[in-house]
Amino acid sequence: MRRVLPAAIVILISVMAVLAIVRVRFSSDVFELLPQDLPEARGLEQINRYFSRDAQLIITLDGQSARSVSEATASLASALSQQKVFIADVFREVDMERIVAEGGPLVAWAWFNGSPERLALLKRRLAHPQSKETLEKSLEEINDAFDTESALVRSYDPLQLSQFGSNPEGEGGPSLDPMRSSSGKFEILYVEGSGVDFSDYREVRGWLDKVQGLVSQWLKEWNGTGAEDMEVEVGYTGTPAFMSEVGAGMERDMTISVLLTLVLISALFFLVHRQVTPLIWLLAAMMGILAITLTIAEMALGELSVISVGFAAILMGLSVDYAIVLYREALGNPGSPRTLRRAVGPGIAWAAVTTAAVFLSLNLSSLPGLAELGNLVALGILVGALVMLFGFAPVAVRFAGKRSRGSARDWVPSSMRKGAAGVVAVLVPLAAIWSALMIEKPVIEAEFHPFRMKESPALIAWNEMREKLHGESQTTPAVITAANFGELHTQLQAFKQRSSRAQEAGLIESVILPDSWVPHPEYQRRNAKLLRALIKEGPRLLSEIDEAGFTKEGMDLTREVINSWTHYLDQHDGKQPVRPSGSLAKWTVDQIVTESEDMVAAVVALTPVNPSEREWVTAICDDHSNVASLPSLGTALNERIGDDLWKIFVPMLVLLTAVLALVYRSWKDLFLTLLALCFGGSVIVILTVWTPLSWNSFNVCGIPLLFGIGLDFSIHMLFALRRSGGDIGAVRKRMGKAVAFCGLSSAVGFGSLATASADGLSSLGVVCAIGILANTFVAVILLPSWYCLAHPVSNSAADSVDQVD
Amino acid sequence: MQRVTFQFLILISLISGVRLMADTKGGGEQVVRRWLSTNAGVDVLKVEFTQIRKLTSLKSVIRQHGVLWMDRRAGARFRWQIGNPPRTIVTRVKDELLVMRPRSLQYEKSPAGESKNSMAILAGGFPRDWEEFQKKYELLGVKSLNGTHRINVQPRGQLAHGVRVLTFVTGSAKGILQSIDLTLRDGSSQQIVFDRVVTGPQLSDNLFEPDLTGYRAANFK
Repeated sequence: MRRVLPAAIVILISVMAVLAIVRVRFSSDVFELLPQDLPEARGLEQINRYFSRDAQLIITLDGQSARSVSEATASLASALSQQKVFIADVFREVDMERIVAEGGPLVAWAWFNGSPERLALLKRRLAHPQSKETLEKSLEEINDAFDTESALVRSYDPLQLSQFGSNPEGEGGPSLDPMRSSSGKFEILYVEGSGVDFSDYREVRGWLDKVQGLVSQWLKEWNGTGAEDMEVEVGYTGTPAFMSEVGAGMERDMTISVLLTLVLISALFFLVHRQVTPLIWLLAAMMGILAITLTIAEMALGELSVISVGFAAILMGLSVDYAIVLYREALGNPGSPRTLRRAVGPGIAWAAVTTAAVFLSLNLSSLPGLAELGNLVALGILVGALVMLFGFAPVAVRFAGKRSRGSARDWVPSSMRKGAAGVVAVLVPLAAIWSALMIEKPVIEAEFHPFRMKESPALIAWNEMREKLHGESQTTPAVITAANFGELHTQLQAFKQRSSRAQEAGLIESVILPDSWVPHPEYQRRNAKLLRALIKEGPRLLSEIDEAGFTKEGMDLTREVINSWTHYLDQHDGKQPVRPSGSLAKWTVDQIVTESEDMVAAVVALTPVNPSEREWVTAICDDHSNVASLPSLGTALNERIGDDLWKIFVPMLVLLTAVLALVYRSWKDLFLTLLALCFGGSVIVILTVWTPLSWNSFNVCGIPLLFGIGLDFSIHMLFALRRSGGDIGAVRKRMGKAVAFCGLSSAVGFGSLATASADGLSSLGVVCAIGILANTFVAVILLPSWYCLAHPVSNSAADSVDQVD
Repeated sequence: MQRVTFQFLILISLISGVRLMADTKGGGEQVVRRWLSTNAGVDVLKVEFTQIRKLTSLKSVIRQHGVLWMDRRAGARFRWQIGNPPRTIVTRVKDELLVMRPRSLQYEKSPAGESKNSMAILAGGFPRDWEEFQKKYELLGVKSLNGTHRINVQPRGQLAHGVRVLTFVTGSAKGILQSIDLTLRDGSSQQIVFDRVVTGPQLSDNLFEPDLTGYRAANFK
């Protein structure tokens, strides 16, 4: 029974932790993790919110010939369209048949929503006898056209209703995004999903699995026909593909980093202490901390992001330190849990508070995602301190007494010889300065995007699509928002003026505005009367088309336009603008203009001269106009993080130096601490110059964390050295071991994030792990020797470094 | 017995029809090479043709006569005109395509390389060897019918836009091109029948670079 109860408790805690992990909800939205005062971040978030429909999957088809791709796309579209249960609609490059069959509502709406002057011109053109002249002209064009396509288009549209007249400069049509490459060898399909909640990535993943299964089956049959030149390759991108990938990536990150940390820390603990039972309790305590923190986090935040998901591993690595302190104290001074808490409780409490404060300082960063990570770790550390003090302390007392003497291992390496330590203290910073000045100045990566996934088939397919459909002249979307459509037109005009000035200044190459496709309440009201008159002319116009020699097919578009006008006028109440009806028209306009409860938005396409610069962004953006530009976002983040470092880190350094001066009351010890920090920083600088390790806008935020942890280690070691009168051997065996274990476990926690899906989190983990190892090395191996150099007469034992260690 | 005989005759006629229309893709390359060999060495060409357009959206068939000149000596010069007197003139010199409408005195210039127009097949000239043919077209198959070979192809790249199948009809005996048939995706079709072909005629530069005096620029699309 005495054995069963503890086992049951351990199992219960583990089950609770697993349930907490399984229950946790992940948010696949990465745009809310960016600083929202940047126009680029707002633009990306708005594009995602207003124009990236959650249920819109993009399937790419790539083949050896235009025919293979065209036929494969038609075949796949047909196969998918039959799956009515989970696919609402399928859209591909609009061809003549679809324009004739479904384009009527779009053409009709364009006239209804266009300028009244333009509609008046149409009315004159369609009046008798000008309408007959238009038909004769069309027949002439059909007869004389050199290219068959022109003749064909005109034959389906004899009254030229799809010709909206000369567009004002810079005004774009609905086909801002082509769906077929110019060579025809690449084409995309938009698949509108249905039947699941597309805001839940787990449901999206299930839906995507179904679609991919269906497409795989189709692909097997298509490519299995034996004709190699007809084979195609298929890719998936768009919101469902990204959501599924990010969601799965986050689940994987959480699982792998937590398991890896637990395994490595267990191995470390076992190597050091050679005991299994306390290790099991230690793991149970860590799982308990994770379960409690996750539960609180879920209540506070609701969902974990792609970045904050990394908190668990960091937390594991840091909170285990408190258990080690308790356990080592219990080994040295056996007693009751209460006496143990009295002895080390204050130290653990202060350490937890100061470490939590360092992580909370991430709130001063401009990246909300990083701030969230900091808050979660800070919360977890406080929970961890409490769990270890009240949950693990009794276990430590109980099992420390059972430990055999022979199980103690002297595993911490000796301090460096004084002379060598002194030389290294000078050489390493000098090497860092030389590397930075002569070889390569450490700079923040220009094109880094912290939330980009390392391995993302959806991103690969997306980039391929952009390259094949847009080539080198890639446009950047801008989002214009307003409270209503009337105001949206005003904002578009203001944007047009700003972008014209930017064009004149050579900042922007081109701008395509969507004016015609934004519902215009005033135009619609004025056009209603003219359209009523045109509708009355409908039967005459159809009769004239028939008499001119056109078939029923040749009249279909005209008939559909007239019917749609009737439909729109029935809907029009003179107050609210009418939006286009019909799946093709609705889908086309929804790509450009969208409406939510309290906001309307339109997308503008523009081509900046230098996309990664920010001058063009500031020239055209305001509160209502934002750009979804990743290149300039990278620049903006780097600028912002650089400012953050100067504004936060430098004052923090000055303040802490002053505090340390008060604490130490010794300029030598103050100098040694600063030297230790400088040494750790130098090691990282050298590594960033000589290895692939580099700084980016995300991992650079790890500097304050490294600073805090390095400071912590130095303080512990210096005070231990003071207490022992400079007895390096004694300090190494007690505090040296504790700091070494804490450093290694923290490095394990951060290092496990190297496997994270998001580039930013992964690079943060690597830099912090390396930095912590450097700090540990300095604190345990070098600092004692430096102390002896700085305090040569403090104790005879100080001189024993050359003999003992 | 009479009924059986009748059915047998139908069967025989069907089999022969099938044979007549047999897809000879395997031996298609030979037919194509034979046609291409007739183009080899022909640098200058004048073709009088009849263009027949059958559009799904029109009740009647449009029939027009026209002339085509090609000169491959100095780049790919080309002139196509339809009607007599000409109603539309199209020339290609180097990489520029010029479309003229003499009746309305309008013209339009565009880069020839950007044309998605299926008739730009003509403007680029006919292929002269198998490699050039393969570069421009994907061979779908060759069928024999009434003393002709129908070489069915799909243009490669953007010229394939809207085209279901393009057919070069050559004479079985000599392999000379007789007509070009174009079937579009909506079921419409266009046939260009070669009425008279003259090889190596004397051509003046003015033919390919017509005088635009009095014309104004327009957009015909």
